[in-house]
Amino acid sequence: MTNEVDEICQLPGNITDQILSCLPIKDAVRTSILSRKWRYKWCSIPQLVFDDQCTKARGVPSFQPSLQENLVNIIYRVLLLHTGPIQKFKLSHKDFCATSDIDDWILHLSRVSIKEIVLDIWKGQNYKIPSSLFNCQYLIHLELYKCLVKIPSMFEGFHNLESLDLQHVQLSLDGLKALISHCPLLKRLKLRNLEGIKQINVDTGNLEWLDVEGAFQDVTFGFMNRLKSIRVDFSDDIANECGLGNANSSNLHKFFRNLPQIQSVELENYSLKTPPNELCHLKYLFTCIDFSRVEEILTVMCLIRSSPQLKHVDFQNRAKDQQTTRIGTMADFWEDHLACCLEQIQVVSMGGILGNEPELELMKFLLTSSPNLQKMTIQPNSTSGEGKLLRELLRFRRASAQAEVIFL
Amino acid sequence: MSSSSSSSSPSCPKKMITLKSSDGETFEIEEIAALQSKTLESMIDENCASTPVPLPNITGKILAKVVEYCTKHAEVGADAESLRAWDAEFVSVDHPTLFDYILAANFLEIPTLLNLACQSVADMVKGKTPDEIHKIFNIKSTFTPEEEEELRRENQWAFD
Repeated sequence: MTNEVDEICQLPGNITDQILSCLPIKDAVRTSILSRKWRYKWCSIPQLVFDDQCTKARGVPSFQPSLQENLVNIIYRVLLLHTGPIQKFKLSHKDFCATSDIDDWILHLSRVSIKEIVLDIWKGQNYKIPSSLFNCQYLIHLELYKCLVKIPSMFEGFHNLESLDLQHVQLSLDGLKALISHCPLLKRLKLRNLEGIKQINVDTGNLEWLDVEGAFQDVTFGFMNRLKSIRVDFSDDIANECGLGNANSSNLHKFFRNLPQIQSVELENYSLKTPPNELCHLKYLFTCIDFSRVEEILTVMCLIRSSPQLKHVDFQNRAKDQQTTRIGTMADFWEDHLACCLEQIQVVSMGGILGNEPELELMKFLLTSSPNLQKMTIQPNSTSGEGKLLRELLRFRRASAQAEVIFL
Repeated sequence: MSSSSSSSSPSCPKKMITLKSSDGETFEIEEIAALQSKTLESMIDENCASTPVPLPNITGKILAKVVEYCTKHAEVGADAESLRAWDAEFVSVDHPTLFDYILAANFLEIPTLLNLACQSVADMVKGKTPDEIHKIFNIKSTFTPEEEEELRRENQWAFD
């Protein structure tokens, strides 16, 4: 007995929209041929994603000039046939160079209550964002890669924007300030490699998630009492060089002392020098550290002890070469801390390990003081001296019977 | 007292709520697990969940599985990998059951289950020819050859 009923068509419209949204756009449009009921079902899908999959023809490779034309035509056709509001528009095709057609598309999107725009320009020159983008008042998420942004003077802000992601974007310092300060609901901010900006000043009280990367010379963060996660990568190694201004360092240190809600901290090319206040919610820490510097180890130890929920710690070695350090001072240091019990630590990772004394002392300390440790992963910097490192590791006592020590 | 457990104190019994399916079966679910359903969450907030909650659109067979899903996803400290594997198992069911999951997740507003089940259906369609999709989902094509020709022209790029 055959079932004559089209199973999917029985489902409500919002569900078929969701199912079709899970498909690459090509497959979604192909469903138009299934039956009369299916012909225009794809036209109301809330998400439009145009990427490499759109121009992949079965078997026949697409040639460069026609690929550009093809994609432009595809996007125009889809936008023309589409009905209703569009929630998300993403253009991220590795072989597509920006053209002025994008201006038309953004103008159209500003009229259909667009909530999310992702624009990645992989080839050719940076794309100059048209002013119509700034009229998309319903935008919740904006992501730009290799674009040029000029904030119009009449810009009133994105009153619904919660998430902003700018990478390799050209904009002025004033532009960045104007953009951030006019987004009252901003919760997530990612700024990576902003061309032309050497200083950064982020002062938005509602931020919950922050990711900043670049060769900055001056960094100021305001008070962020809602911040749950932070990642910083100062490629120029700024705060560790005394010459580049202690003022910057003290701003940053003040900032790190005042993060009451923080759960995850990732510091690349930056080490904390002064211990922060109690961090009762911190669950994950990633930090670059010079194992031979007592004050850095002390700071991290203080941090670990003031974080009762800290489960996962990740250390990345900052020192590039083998340094013979004063073993004497290190041994004293560890003796003072022997009575420590780090109940909360469950996972430890250590990267760029050279196999010298301070590193081994830290490993030994962590293994003997963490009764709940489940996994310790060690990644050596090079294969030389591996044997010795392994032998030492095997000798160390472990406080936790479940601890797995993994050597990568 | 071990510090690695969650913050609930052991002396407090787990709060349960009762759900009643369309065919009269009742199921108990922990309140914490039930919070994954936006519908149930608002009922709990408004204190309407103390008596068995009637769910006239969901049969006992499906409701049992939905409760199982929510309970599994409310577990603390679950490994992401094993949860993914569990989810994949969960949606390896026949089409009618899968669609029932979708309808139940839609009604109870459980976004994670809805996404999982919809993605599962989409995966069955992805990369297949129209004929194959016809067979899988029992769809009857009602187009004449001329209509089909016109359709292929309308969205030619998708059929290349």
